[in-house]
Amino acid sequence: MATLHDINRRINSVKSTKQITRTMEMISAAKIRRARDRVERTIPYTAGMASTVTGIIDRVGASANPLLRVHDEVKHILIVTVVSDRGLAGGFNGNVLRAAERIMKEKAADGITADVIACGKKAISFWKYRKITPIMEFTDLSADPTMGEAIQLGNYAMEKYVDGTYDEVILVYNHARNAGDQVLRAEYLLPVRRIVFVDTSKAIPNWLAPMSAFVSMVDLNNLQETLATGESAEKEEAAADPTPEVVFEPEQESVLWTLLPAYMRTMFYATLIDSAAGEQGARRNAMKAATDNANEMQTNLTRLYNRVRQGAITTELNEIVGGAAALED
Amino acid sequence: MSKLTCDIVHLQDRVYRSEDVQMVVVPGQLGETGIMENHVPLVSKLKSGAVRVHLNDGTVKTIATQGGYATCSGTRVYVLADRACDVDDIDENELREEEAVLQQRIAAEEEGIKKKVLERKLRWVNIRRKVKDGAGNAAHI
Repeated sequence: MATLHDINRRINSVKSTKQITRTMEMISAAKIRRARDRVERTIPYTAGMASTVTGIIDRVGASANPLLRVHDEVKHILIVTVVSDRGLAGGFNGNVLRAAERIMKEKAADGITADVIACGKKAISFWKYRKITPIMEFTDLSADPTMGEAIQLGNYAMEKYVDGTYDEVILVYNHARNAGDQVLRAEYLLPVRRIVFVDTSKAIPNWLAPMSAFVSMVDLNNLQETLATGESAEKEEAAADPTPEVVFEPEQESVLWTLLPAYMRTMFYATLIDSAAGEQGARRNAMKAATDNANEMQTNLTRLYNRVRQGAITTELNEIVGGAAALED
Repeated sequence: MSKLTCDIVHLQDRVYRSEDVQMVVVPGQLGETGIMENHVPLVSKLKSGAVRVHLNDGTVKTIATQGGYATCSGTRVYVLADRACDVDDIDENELREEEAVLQQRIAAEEEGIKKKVLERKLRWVNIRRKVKDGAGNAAHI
């Protein structure tokens, strides 16, 4: 049986833990607004870029640029994992990393090897623990991602895709659906292709819509399935709708060679800031749950403390009454 | 009445949007291009300069832009600029201050990517100044 002193010590310990979790919850809540604001401000540009590129892909065909060309045989792929630098955010990091590992294993079963890029300290330690050395590592970007990192990521992925080192580039990250909800996303970045796309005339006016409204994204659970149906739908659409030619200024080749890299960099940047917003949301949720648990624990411990204290008083009274009775006898 | 929608955006924000546009004149690499309703699908690489939006009520809105693309598809024009700024928001004093700070930083910086980025920012100051000075007719800079 715990003594009053032990219980009191536990109550104090829970109280101080609660102070920490509550502070972390409030800090994350304050950061969410800024992070989401940054995502929302980027959406018009990202949406415009995505709609432009999708429009072009439909019209120029895959042979127009090496970044659009699908490699005949997939042997080696690149997986970019975007997580955070710090933990205490529930399943935020683990979900992405386990999903990436699963993709890697599934690909390995088909004889496809994979390299990884780790964005965030948690990804670096995860891959190193599994004896996988990331090709590129980025730290300190989950709080404030910059275009510089997106450019590095984009340039590396494009260069290696064009020279044939990689046959596919997959991005795995958490998309911040709203302030409190994150969704795991796995998305094919290269070859650049049209997978899922909504009517842009609807997507743009509602520019606060989640990223999934306009970025080609695939649910992890039906990765292959969605790709297959997406491709066939694309072909049918192309056959049914003879779209007019696009006029390029100055000419198609030079425009595609600058536009597609810009698209890649934009998508990487959008992903980094989206994930950063998601991290704050995930941490706030995790810390709120921890604070709630601490509250409950504190209530239970206080109840136990009172019971034990009352028990001790009762025992003491009994002893006094018993002693007095013995004297009377 | 033309039903053209125009969006001028850069990566950090939307600068201008109107659904009541008659024509958009963009500074393409091969010269100015006027885009009206039902223009053929176009993707144009832009020079730095001024995008002029002619509204249906006859007014003209001028936006300074640096780099980027203009795309159009029938009833929608997108200007995806690297940098963009409404000419009405340009303040000469702020430009002067920005210019002085940038010049100092460029002088202190060694050759490299950082210096190039700063030089590009300085060019952006000059673009805004030129667009402000000749608002409405400065197309290419």
